[in-house]
This record gives sequence, C-alpha cells and structure tokens, in this order.
Amino acid sequence: MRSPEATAAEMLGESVARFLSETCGFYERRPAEATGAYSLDRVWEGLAQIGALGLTVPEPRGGAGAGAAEAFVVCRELGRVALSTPYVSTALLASTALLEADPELQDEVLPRIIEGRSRVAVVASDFGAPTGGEKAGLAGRRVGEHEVSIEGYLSMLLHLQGSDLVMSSLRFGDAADTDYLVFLPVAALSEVSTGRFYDGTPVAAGRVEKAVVHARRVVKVSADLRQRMRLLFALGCASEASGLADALVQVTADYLRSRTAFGQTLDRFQALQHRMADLRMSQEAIRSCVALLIHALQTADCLQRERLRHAALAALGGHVRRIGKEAIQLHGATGAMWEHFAGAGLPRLMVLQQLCGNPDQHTHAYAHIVRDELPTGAYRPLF
Amino acid sequence: MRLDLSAEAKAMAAEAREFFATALPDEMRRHVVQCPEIIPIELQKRWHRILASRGWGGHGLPAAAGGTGWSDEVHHAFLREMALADAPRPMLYGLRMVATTLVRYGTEDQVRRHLPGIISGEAMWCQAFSEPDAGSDLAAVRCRAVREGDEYVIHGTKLWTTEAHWADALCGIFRTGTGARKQEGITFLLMPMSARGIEVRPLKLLEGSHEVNQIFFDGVRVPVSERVGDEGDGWRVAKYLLATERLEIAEVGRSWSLLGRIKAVLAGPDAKMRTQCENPVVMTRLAELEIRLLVLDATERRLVLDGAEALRAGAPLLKIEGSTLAQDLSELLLDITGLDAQVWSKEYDLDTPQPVGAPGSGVAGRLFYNSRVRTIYGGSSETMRNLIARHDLKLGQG
Repeated sequence: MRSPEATAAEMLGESVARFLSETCGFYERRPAEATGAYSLDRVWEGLAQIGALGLTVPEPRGGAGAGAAEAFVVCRELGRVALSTPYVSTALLASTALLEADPELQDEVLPRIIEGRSRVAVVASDFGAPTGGEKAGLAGRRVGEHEVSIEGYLSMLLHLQGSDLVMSSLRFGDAADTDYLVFLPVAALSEVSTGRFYDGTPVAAGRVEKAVVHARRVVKVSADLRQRMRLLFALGCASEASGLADALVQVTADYLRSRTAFGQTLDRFQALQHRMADLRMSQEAIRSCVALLIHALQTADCLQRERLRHAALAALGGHVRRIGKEAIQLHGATGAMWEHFAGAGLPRLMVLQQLCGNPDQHTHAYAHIVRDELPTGAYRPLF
Repeated sequence: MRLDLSAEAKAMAAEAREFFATALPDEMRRHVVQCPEIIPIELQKRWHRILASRGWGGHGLPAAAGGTGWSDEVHHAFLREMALADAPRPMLYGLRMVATTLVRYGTEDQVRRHLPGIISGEAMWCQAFSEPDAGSDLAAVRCRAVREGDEYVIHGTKLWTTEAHWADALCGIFRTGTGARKQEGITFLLMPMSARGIEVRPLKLLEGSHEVNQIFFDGVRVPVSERVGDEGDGWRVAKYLLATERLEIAEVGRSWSLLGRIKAVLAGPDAKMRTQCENPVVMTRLAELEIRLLVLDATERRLVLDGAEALRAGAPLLKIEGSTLAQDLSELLLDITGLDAQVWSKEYDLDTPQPVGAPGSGVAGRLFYNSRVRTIYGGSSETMRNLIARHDLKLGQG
C-alpha cells in the first residue's frame, strides 16, 4: 500500500507528465530542435507554475518543502520525454547550496529560481564526472572586507545558454583545503565557447577574468553538503534515466506489437520476447538504483552514502546502455534515425550516466571499498 | 521508493536476530554453511520446533489460520534475518507453499486438517508438478486423475520432486480433463505419501546429491475432499503456489550470507587468498556481484513495500536475477578456491574429512554444481522470461 507521501509524489508526477506531454512532446518539439530554435522558456514557466522549481526549498523560504522522492518524480517525467533541462542544476543543486548561503543571497536568488526567472548553469565535474581538457577551476582572492576577486577557466558548463547564473566550485589560495561554491552572473564569463552533447544538452566553456563580486556570493561547502549535492546530482540523472528507460521499453514493446514481418507481428517471436523481458528487468534495476540513491540521501553515515552512490551508478551504467542500445536494435534502422524517439534515447541515456562518471570508475571505487572492508569481518547488507 | 522498513518490521528484525543468535544450534548453522542445498529432514524439523517454541511456527500465515498474523513486510524482515543467521530454510513446501495456498484456495476443512501439522513442523510436504514431458511447459501435464465416485484415481508419474523421499504428504496437479486451452482440465490434489500405489525413486543430481525424485502413481486413490479449488481449475491454484516458490528461490538474504562467506574466505589465513585479494580482477568480480546483489535487494524491498500483488507480479523477475546471482556467487567461490573445490565431497557428511585438498573447500564445488538447477526449478529462466513478456509487457497476445 502506498504511503500518503508516495501518493502525493505520484500526483505531482502526473501533473508534470500532463504538462510536459501537452507542451513539449518529443515529436512536437523535434523539428524546432533540429534548427536549434527550440526554447525551454515555456517549459520553465510551466514547471514554475506547477511548483516544481521550488520543490525541495523549505516552505518558510517559499518552496514546497518536499524531499528526494518528489524530486525523483519530476526528473523521471522530464526523462520520459527525453528533454534536457537545467532542472537538476537549478532546482536541486543551486537551491540546496543557497540554503547554506548568506541570507541576502538567498533572498536575492531563491525567489527567482522558484518563480522560474533564474536558471543556474553548473560545471559537470563539480558534482559528477571528472572531465578532461584544459585545467579548469576558479581561484578566489579576498579584496577588502566584503569583496572577492575571482579568476579562472570553466569547462563543461551545462546549460549556460539560457541561464543567468553560474554556480562553480572556488578555491582560495590561503585556504586551499576549504571547499566553496560561488554564484556568478553569466556576464562574468568571457571568451565563451559553446557546443552541445549528442543529446542536445548545451555545454560551454569560458574564462573569468578578475571578476570582483560581493563575498556573500561565496558559499562555504562542508564535506556533508558536497556529498549531498553529489548524491542529488546522481539522483537527478538516474531519475531522468529511469523515466526515459520506461518510455523506451514502452515504445519498443508497442513497436513489436504493431510491426509485421515474416507473416506475423514481431512480438510473437520468442527471441524478441526474451530480449524485451531482459529490458523489463533492467527497467526495474534502474528504479532500484534510484531507490538506493534516495536511501543514500537519507543515510547519516558518509562512507555508507558514498558506497551506495558508487553501487547505484555502477549498476545504472550497464542497465541504461542495454535499454538504449536494444531499443534501437529492436526498432531496426528506423530506430537509428535522429527524428525517432529510440534514436534520441541512447544519446540522452549515455549523457545522463556519463555526467555521473563512467560505470567502470564506480565499480573500481566500489572494489576498493570492498577490499578495505575485508579485514573487518563485518559483512552485513547495506540496508 | 523508500527502502527503509517500518518501525514494526525493524523491531521484528531485531527480535529475530537476537533470538537466532542464541537459539540456532552451532551444528545446525555449520550444516547450513557447509551444505546449504540439502538440510536433512531431522534438522529441518528440529529447527521448526525451535521456531514453534517461540510462537513462530506459523510464520507468514494469518492469525485466523493459526499463524503469526504478520504483515508481508514484517514477514520479509523475519525471513531475511533467518537467512542472514544461516538458519535452515523455512519448511518451503509445507509452510510457505501448501499452507499459504490452502489459506487462499482451500476449504475450511482442509485448513483445519492440514495446517496444524505444518505449523507444528510434524508434517513434511513435497510438491509434485513436473513430469517427463511437462517441465517448463507445465500445463502439458498428463498424469491422470479419474473421478470415481467420491475419489480420484491417479495413474502416471511426476519428476524432479524435491524431498519426496522425506515427505509425509504431497500436493500436485493432475489431468482430469481437457479444454480449449491446455491449462484447463488440471486439478490440484493433496494426498499422503503413505497412500497405496505411490512409489518414490531417487534421482541423483550431477554433484551426486539426492535431493529430487521420480514418483510413480499406480491407482492411487485420493478423496474428493482433498481437492483444492474446483475440478479443472487447478492451474490457477498452482500459479499462486508457484509465485510463492519463485520468491523463495530469489533468496536475497542467503546470497548476502554467501557473499559474506566468500569475503571471509578471502580475508582468512590461507596464503593463497592474500594473492586473490591483490588480484584486481577478483576484487572487481566481487564488487560487481555485491553491486548486483544490492540492486536485487533494493528491487525485492521495493516490491515488498508496494504490497503483496506487486511482489507476486515481480516474482519472475526476482527469480531470474536471484537464481543467476546465486550461481555467479558460487562460481566466484569456486574460482578463488581453485582445484581444491573440484575434490568431490559427500553431501551432508560433514564429519568425514575430505580425502584430499584444503579442509572445508568441498562446499565450493557442491554449491557450484548444485546451483545449476536453481535457474531451472520453480520455472526455468526462459519460462520466467515468457511470463514477463506476456504478463508485464503484453507481448505475443494479439
């Protein structure tokens, strides 16, 4: 039996799903995406009206005061239509960081986020995947009592296009061991170069040249907060992957039921039925990865949290790849078309999982944890 | 999406853990660890009496049927602790399958007559479903039950009947008619193993163990009062029972326990194991298996918390991954044990030292070879995939 909280979360999910299918269904928006003319403005406005953008912000701060389970359903629905948005970076990560920020910064930014007037770009490697390329990162220097001078180079900025703020990690030379985040206006970036991932997600790189900002824009980040934000990022990506995996399994099953070959519909071939059964199993495994991440967020022990994160992301990688690749294969060549949903599914799933680091890295990290645990003799299940 | 058990279920888990820590005899635990697939009948009954002494003999059954009246979640917590304690499995065929099925489909008289023996642990049951030409295609059963007055008269044979050589009674499905679909005309019957005309012949599994049997029925007479459900409607009853069996075969708790034992072997004093621990391939395999187990555990927990219907619907999925994972764990244990694991050791004769090889290494070979049947019994993985495709995904129905 579902708890009242679970029922409320599903009602929210239904609202988001209805809104997304009406405003940005995959086949309706694909032509505009083809020309680069598609804008998230209408989606963003609608998410604000539903209350999704202030979902995890406490009620006294103007939000809905919801938790990870509600965040999951919103991300799942965004995933179901294979739409890349700055929802995770803005509504989950930036909001969480802002709750630890100077009250004036909170008052300035949180209402804008909740009302859909502000979008926040983040650096992928701050919360997930390590990225290569030019040595990136921002360095800060205190100027007087209230100001900070910042410079450096940022790469793999997600959704910079359309955002008005950038949230990035920041190091001070005099406190290299302390972790900070800074909220910068996008205008502080120069030499901006832009690109996009195969799933359409806009990415950018840019330089910050001695930008002087008020010290209140800098947030001190505890180890606990950094870990929670990593988990939220992973949860957002995994939840979107879960929604997209659900949709891909469904459209592939629909296709097999309707497509005739060799005198019968494809769904009558046992070989294909069994492959679909394996996808169904992967679908449930992905949901369980999400559940593990939600559980990690509710776990106090930081080692346990990290262990659960590595496990969930290691498992997620294999299952989402299986569904993404098989959805194309089972559709035949039509599934490999850019304009086809199955063709859009694989790149989106690949980006979502790579944002959190590749699965081998997580398996490797998990193996180290297991290796270190061996001499302890304490081998209970993790929940 | 929560994985945390309710306060009630957590309290049950804590109570059970504490009880098992003191009440489970060492030799019983040793047997489960060394030879988990075959627990001798006397050990099974003894363990059940220990549970019954605590009032847990009818665990998982409704209070009205003489059971504990626990919710599925509380029962899940209890079974998990039992597995983690390396206690013998619950009496699968009697308590978990026949009793549960009788509560759902049996008459009041059947419940009254059969459940007390099951709950007390005195009555050992087996399940006679498969036949020589009806394994995965179970609905093709041909073992015939012909109605004669108030009795059915049975002729034919059943195959792969686990623990029939120990059982006091059996439940089974028999052909009483034909219909448009082969699932029609099947009837679910109960009978004592002492019934005249029943003969049990042992079958040996590839590692040499005697776990399964073939049963021959030569004019066995069963009163109509021992029919569960209507005549010809036994397929529905059998499906319900099988879903319970598949959940048991997933055995997430026992896989955690086996994983712990593999870790203990790796962390043990054997110098060979230190080399294994330094082998990144071995550690990666171990990590991958633990991650799979963690995900399976989360899936089972989600389904338990979603309610009985969700759990039963998810049984094929849990069965495939649970049984495959158990095989893969046993294969890792086999590999790290090396050639010693290939020395044949007699089933459940734990007091006879292995003639050759490291002490205790025999379990690795037995587990590996015996686990081959796990992806076959209770419905093969291929049959489970058929069920998922047809029922979950609605494929092949047009």
